[in-house]
Amino acid sequence: MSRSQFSRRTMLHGLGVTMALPWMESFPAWGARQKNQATDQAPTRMAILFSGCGFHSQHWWAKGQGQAMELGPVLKPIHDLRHKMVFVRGLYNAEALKGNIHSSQTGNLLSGAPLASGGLIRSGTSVDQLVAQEIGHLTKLPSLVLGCETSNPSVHKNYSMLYSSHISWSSPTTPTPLEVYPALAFDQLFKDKTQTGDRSVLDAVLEDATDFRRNISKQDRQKLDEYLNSVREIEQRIDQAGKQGEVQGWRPTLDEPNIKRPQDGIPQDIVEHMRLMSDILVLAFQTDTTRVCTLKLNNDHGTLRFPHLGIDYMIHHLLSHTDNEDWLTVNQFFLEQVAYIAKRLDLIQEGERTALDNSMLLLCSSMLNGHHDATQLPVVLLGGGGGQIQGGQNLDYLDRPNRQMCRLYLSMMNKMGVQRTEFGDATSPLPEI
Amino acid sequence: MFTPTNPSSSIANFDRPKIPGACAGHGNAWFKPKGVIEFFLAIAMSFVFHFSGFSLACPEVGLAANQEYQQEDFPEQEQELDAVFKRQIQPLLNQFCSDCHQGENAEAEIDLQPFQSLESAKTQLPVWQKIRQVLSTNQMPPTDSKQLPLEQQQQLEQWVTTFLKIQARAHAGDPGPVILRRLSNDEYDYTIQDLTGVASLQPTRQFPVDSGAGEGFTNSGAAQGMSPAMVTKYLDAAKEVAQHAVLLPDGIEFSPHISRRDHSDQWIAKIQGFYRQHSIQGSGTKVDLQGVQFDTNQGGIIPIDKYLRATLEYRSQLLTGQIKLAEVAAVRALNLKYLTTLWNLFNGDSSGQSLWVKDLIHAWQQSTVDAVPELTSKIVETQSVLWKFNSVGQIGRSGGPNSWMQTSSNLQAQQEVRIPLSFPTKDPQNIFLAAKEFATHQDHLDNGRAPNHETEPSSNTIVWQNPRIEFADGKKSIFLKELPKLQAKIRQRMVDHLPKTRQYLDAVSTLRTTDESAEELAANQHLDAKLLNRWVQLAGFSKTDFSITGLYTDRLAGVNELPEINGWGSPATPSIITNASPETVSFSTLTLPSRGVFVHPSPGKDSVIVWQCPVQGEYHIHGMLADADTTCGNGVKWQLQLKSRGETSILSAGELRSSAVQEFATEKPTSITKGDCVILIVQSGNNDHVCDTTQVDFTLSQIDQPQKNWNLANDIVDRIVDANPLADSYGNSQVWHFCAWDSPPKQESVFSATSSLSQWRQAILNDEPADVIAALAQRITQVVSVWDNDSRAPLDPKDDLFRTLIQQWDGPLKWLEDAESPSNAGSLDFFSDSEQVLDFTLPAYLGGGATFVTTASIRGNLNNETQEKRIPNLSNLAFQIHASVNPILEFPFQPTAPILVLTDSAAQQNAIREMDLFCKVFPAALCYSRIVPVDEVVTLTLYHREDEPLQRLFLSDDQCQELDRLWNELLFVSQQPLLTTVVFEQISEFATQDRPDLVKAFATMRAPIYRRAEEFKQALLDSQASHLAAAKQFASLAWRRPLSAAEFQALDSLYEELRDHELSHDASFRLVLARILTSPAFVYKLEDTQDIATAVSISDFELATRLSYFLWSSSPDQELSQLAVRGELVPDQAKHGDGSNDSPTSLRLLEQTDRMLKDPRTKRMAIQFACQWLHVRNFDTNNDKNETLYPEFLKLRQDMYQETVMFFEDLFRNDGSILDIVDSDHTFVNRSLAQHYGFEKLPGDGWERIDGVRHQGRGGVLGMATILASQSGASRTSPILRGNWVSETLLGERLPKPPANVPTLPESLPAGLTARQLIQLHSQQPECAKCHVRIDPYGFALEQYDAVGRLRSQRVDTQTILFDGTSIGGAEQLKSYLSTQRRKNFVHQFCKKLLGFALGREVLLTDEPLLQDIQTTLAQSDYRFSVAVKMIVTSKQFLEIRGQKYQNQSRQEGLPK
Repeated sequence: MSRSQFSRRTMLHGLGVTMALPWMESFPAWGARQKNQATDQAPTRMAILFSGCGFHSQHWWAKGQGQAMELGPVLKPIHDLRHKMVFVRGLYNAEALKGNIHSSQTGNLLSGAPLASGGLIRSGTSVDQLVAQEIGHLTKLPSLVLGCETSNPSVHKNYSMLYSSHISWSSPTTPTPLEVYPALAFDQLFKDKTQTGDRSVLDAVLEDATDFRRNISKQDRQKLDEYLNSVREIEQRIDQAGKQGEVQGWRPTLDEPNIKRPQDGIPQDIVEHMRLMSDILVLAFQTDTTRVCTLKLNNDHGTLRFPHLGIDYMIHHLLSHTDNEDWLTVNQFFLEQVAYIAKRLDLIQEGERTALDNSMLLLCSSMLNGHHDATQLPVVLLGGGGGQIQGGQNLDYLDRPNRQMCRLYLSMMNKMGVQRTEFGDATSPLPEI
Repeated sequence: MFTPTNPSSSIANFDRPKIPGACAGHGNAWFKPKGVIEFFLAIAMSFVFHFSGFSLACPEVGLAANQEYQQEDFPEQEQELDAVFKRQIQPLLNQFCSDCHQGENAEAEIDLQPFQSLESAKTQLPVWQKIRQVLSTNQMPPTDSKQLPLEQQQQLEQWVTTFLKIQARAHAGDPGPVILRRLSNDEYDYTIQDLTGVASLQPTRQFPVDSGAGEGFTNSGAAQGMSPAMVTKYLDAAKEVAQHAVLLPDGIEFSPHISRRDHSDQWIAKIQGFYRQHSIQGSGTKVDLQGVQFDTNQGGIIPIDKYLRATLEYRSQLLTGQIKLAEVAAVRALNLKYLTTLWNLFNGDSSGQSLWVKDLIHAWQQSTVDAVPELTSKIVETQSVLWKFNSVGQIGRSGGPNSWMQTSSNLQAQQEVRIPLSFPTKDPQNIFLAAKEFATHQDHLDNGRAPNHETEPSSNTIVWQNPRIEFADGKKSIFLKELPKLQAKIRQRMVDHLPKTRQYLDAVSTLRTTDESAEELAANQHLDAKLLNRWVQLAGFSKTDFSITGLYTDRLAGVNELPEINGWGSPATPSIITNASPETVSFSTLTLPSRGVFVHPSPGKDSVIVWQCPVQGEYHIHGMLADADTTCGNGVKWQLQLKSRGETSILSAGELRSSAVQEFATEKPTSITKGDCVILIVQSGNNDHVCDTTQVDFTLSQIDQPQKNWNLANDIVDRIVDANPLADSYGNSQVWHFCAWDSPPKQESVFSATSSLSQWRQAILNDEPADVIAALAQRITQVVSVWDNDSRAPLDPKDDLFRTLIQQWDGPLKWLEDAESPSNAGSLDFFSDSEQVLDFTLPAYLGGGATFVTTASIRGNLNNETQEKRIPNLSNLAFQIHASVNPILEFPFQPTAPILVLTDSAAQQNAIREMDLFCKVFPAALCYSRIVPVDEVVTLTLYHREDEPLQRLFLSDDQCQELDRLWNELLFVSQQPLLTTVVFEQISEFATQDRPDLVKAFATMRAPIYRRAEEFKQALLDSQASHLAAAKQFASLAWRRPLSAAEFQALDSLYEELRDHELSHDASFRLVLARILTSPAFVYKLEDTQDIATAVSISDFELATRLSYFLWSSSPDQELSQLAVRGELVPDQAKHGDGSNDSPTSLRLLEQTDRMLKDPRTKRMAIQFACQWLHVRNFDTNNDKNETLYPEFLKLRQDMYQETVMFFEDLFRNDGSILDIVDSDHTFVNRSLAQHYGFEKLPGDGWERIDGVRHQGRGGVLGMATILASQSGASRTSPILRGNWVSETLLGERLPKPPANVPTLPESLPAGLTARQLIQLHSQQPECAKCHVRIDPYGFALEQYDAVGRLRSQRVDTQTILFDGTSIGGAEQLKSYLSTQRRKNFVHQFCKKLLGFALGREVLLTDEPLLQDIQTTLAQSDYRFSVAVKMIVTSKQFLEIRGQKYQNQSRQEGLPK
């Protein structure tokens, strides 16, 4: 065969159309922001920070409003930020009350979806991934999904522990794999230079799809498409790399990473690990590499220990059952991470606002406290959402109807430019936010 | 649950747990396994039944009892079920359950509203399974609700059970919904390891941790997410694996390494491994080249002693044929080929052999096994003479060596003989010289006779040139021809003068007190003046200053450009320097304190300071030494001597260690005469180091008048370079002398203080009476004037020695010096014939250090003889020289001695041939096992191959080919021919700088090197096709199926495309590999489905994949794949959907299962299945324990994990009983774990299976630290966790959901409470008690173990009453309870988990008939593990896949609404 006559890639693109992958059709090429983003406004970003097993039962509270707001000891690290914070009490996920404990309270935290039990895995597409699927094409990465604790592979109380360690779901059956290696997370953001030939390899892998998809079941086809779509996405990133050109209007305040690539491997020290992941989150927002991020500080039912706090006799999960002073100390440690991210963002000036003003940081957990109480969830929202959120609020929904957590997600989605009228078990956003 | 409830049993009573399998024996009554074959058949047949869907038959209470169901029965049964439902069940549900379980807010998601008929009930089977569960565990109705009458409760439960059972059977064998499975991380790693053969590869180490689904295993597709980030990881992982491919001349191989350098090293190691099979390490010699140490001549040696030992030990048995050589070779791990060669050699006809070989054969034939060392050294010594080694690095350059190992002709035209003469001796010495002519091999062949001395002109064939006695100090030699004359002369002189000794001594005495010169006195007294002077000197009365030798002549001014550092000596060493500055000066490694004196000896040369006394007196001497170079050196030795008139005494001495300081002082005043010398000698330690700079100082204080002081440092520091010798500060000239003397110092006088001469001297010094002196002198005269044996009177040994010295030709009286030199008249040579012994007698008293020297040659070889003078036929002669101080009586062949032949003679050629015969069989080395030469500073040869002897003597043709292949691969992998051109150019440039001669020498190599490089480039090109072919083969393995032609074509196209992108072959090829591994065909276990409504058999390849991932968590191996290729794996019944006959192919499947279970890869099943099931996978990274309380845990967790893995690996591979999991009497431990467990007997190194552990609290998983620790808290045990684990994990019980807001438990125990009491407190609360009464007692029974699985030293209360009322105490009773009373629950749970793992999905209602079958068969087959595995792999579930339109898709799967 004379190769000069055919460009295999052309052929493949032809095939790509006939393959009729539904997701691909609805996937605009990244880089299109040249067309769409001729605005002077910095974009709104959204981060969801998760810490499992709840917080101290006595010390998570807020009283009063605005500058006069008082915060419980758990929230002490974000005390300075309360004018840019909304404290939300009393939201819950009805589905999380149906299953068992832990996993079934976590796996649907960001979707409010019913969970499959036994050996099956099914939840709902989470709010972050839904937003990413809508606006992800505007940035290099649709979303960043980070974690500071590796998953537990077993099944607990008839629910896969996968639920305990995955809050982000890119489809009802696909928990988004999360990155726990700081160096690899960093590479996701900045490693643009693919090696010669990678593109050809990926083309070839995609080409397999035509044959392989033909004879497998519909269900399997969906599973395979997850892979193939991911391949497509990488290919598009390769194609777009270096083609960014002149951007009209707002530009991120940073083009290049201002921190070094972290070392390979997982840091032994949990403090360092969280710090690196926090820095990467901030960097991702500052460089506008993505606008959606979830950072799972620990697993629900997690096994982190805290020798640096002098609390080494119990793992995180068991500690949550003690409700003692050490538990409070550990809670504060997690809030310090939240405060760190918020303050770093608040130092980045983007026009008149700071990056924090242009962001929404949602801190949430799977339960209110260590006793598996999911009838109300601990929720704090930091940042102005691009001027769309009034700080200093203390909202209480506990004794009100329609206190679905998904209403908050609807609110957040709307502020991200994703207009929806219903999500999970909610049919309207929270008007106060 | 599958068993009907016995209506008579109390449902509330748990002493009769509802266990499936109670009907065992009915359905399978025909099944009586006898042997292995029958068993296979039985399995196969039961499998047939599965396919028909009625393998099970149990009596059904209330419905068709004791009757096997037929397909056509179902409608009938269903009708009946429906009727019962409407008549009895629905009203019951309405009455007792609907209050809570109806509509939107139905509790626990059990909504009974939709169930109005049997048909509607059938749509939601999971709900009914839940109902069965709560009923069977007596959870419903709750105690605070209206209770069902017992009879109705039984009725309800019975109906649900039967209903579910019929539903299960209706769709029994449903393959179920198996979601497309990606390789789990571990599977990916294992698969890569198996595909590449590189066990160290772990490409997924940075992948996100897998999650569990299905029955809790990571191999379930449901839990496997995917994202672009993940795909990137897959691509990177694939590229990483591709980096490990090594391109070979004919295909590829994978390596643990990725660099060319490492690959080369790997192949070198392979070749060295090959070499090592036959050879051993030799003792290499160190070579120092330009300061670099190289080992040479190491390795590749034949272990000849082993071969000799074998031939001698088995000689008689071999000769009588009792044993064969092959057997000996096998027993002794020797090479048969070489052993045979040696055996035939030793036992063959020696007549045709060479002298060297013949000599050896003779020795072997005379020897027993005791002589092995002797024979070995004979061979090794001969080898060392007949072989020589060259350096390898520059082989090939002109003038350079051609090979590493070279035969070394031991032939010589002449041979020097040197025999050292001993000293002193009183007796004449004899030297015996002889030459032996021998016949070379060629003579025999040519003439068939030995040389005949009768007829051959053979007179004086050997010339002994100039036999002489040489002296070490360069004195004139004494030629033996002239010896008699000389001897006579000296004798005469002794006879003339020694009897006059008394006169000489008197004259010496006289000279001491007069001013008369020796010459005058000698003339007056008719004495010899020279001799008199020697006596004066000998007696120590010489007036002349004794001379100080070895003075430094070179000044060292401003050492290291420091003006204050000066001295004498060589810039290197030895030397003396001083620091004149008022400060410590440091440079290089030296630290020189202010105003110090420093000496530096060098190996072999001592640094010496001499103070020659200017004023006679009594002196006190003290001083010090200190190391001035503490960074290196190994210390020095020193001596302080007083040299006084021919006698030397040691005043002080010592050894100074590195960094040390030493002081010395004389105890008594020392009398020192003017001209005497005080000498400080500093000698390098062990003569072997150079960093020996030593600070020295000493002071001489005169005690008597004028009480002067001499301090070395003060005296010389400022003026050292003025002169050597240097005046003292009092103005006396030549006091300080700085010298270097040979070390050790020359031996001085041997006269002891008690010798006659010393006594005489002392008597004179003491002014003793003349008669005393005269008597002593007379005695001396008597002593010295006796010189022959006959008249020798017995003498005091001291005087005997004295006489010997006096009479020694070279002694103090120097007789030889005075003897007239012999005239050089005529030839000084001697001549002899073969076997004629020349016997020379040398005179006694010849002197020390003398050597007898001569040079032997064949007469015709002498240069000064003309061709005509040559004796005819000498050309055929060869000789060996024998020279000895002992009489020569015989003339044996000396294999290591040189051979004398005439240059260019026939004998020379013959001898060379004969040596070669030996060398052929006994090479000094078989091969150059270093491969990489390091014996030249600059090396042209990168890899040196020299293994001809190995190939010729040891290897078969196949082995030679293998070796060739390895070498070819090494050159290919390392690209040596290309590299050589680079090296060549480097060397050329390097050499042009200062060695133009080398440029020339290398020039001839240029063309061949470049030619080989070109040839290699072509070879590289030629190999490319084979790499692509290998990639395709790899793809078939990686994709676990043959590739289609189009797929192969696609691989080629990708390669071409990549080459078009200007990527190299290497890079493109690796990307093709990466592409293969990134493909979904590798990453996913794809299985084809058809667009039909039934389940159909999977393909042979898919089955092979299912099987190997089930048993090995990896891809099928060669054997399994080949069966798949031949289509022999899937049983025929499955293929055709009929169960008509026993198929040999289902036997294949079972055979493969057996084979695979026995394979070590089954260890992965232990990890992936057993450890995951028991929640201890990756226990070796468990980080949950409080390090303060359990500091040993981190060290032990790896061992703990290993125990569990080994236990299961053993059980799986050796087909153990699954009941052993609960209760066994053995386990596996190493020493540290055995200590942890407190075992009575500790194992040795490594791991051991230990039996009889039950009474020590171990055996089964409940005795394992992994389980006990992982189900504990960080700092204490948790009976709840352990109990819950027993209940859920081992027994498969499902517990109700814990209440919200459970009260918390403190981590540390409140004072006065045990863990158990604390929990009991907690569990008394009613909402908690519901569960805790079911789980806690199990935990209590295990309380004797602490949180890391140790037995507590204190006995704790482990007595408890289980939920079913059984009373037990301790772990042992718990185990026995579990393995007997609860056996069926445990076995069911095990089978369920195993099935879930095998299928990669949750176990469904429709799997229950299969589970039931397995349990029944297990009970009949001693619970052998393989039984369960085989029934699973032959089950419909395992062999089939649902069609795309399969009915019953969702109604039995627990998807949320």
